[in-house]
Amino acid sequence: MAQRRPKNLNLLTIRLPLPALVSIMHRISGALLFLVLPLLLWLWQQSLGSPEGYVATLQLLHHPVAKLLILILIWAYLHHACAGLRHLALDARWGLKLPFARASSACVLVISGLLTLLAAIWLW
Amino acid sequence: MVVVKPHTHGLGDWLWQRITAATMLLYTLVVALRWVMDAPLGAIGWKAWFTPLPFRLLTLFFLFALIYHAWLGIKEILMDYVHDKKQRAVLQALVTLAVIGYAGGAITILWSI
Repeated sequence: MAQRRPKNLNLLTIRLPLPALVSIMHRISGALLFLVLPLLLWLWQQSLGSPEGYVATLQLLHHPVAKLLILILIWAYLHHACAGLRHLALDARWGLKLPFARASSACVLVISGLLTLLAAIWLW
Repeated sequence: MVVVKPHTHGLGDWLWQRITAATMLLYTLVVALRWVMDAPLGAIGWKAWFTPLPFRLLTLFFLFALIYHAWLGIKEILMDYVHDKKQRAVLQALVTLAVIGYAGGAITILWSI
């Protein structure tokens, strides 16, 4: 049955509800972490391979741009972990009611944000 | 009697995604705790950090969990966005090859310390 209903699927004009925002950020952060995995493995290998490699890796990571990228990745990891924990709670049918789901989404954003802030202080 | 194998791989994926996630969370906490108590110092300290066999095995376990978790996640993303079955199969195969390479890399790195 063909339905003719007005559709608004322009993602740039839709204001995402908080749980939807956390959900898509969970996906984006996961994809980002997957994409940088080879780079991280390579850095790890270099740092463990030889003392020169260790120094070179450390020097590379001390570059301000590198630090910013590390912080983004730390955020991605923390956000993904927090959103994942929320997912486990939802799987256990805990916090399914909308107000609670909104509040827990906000918690994910705030907690992962604060932990990232801690990481930023440690990095700089 | 014909026994039809139930299509339960979706449930398996769902469960493994969570088991690997829990594994990674535990490892992350262990590493964070160890870092606070005994942060590695210098090239020698960094190497020594990964030398004890239990930690090396734990790290390998974590990396395998991470790789499987990522593989499942990417599979889900591909199923959502790539609707052409052939294209999806090709991409999925590439991702599989890549993660097998990462797993091999992880073993090589950990056992050449």
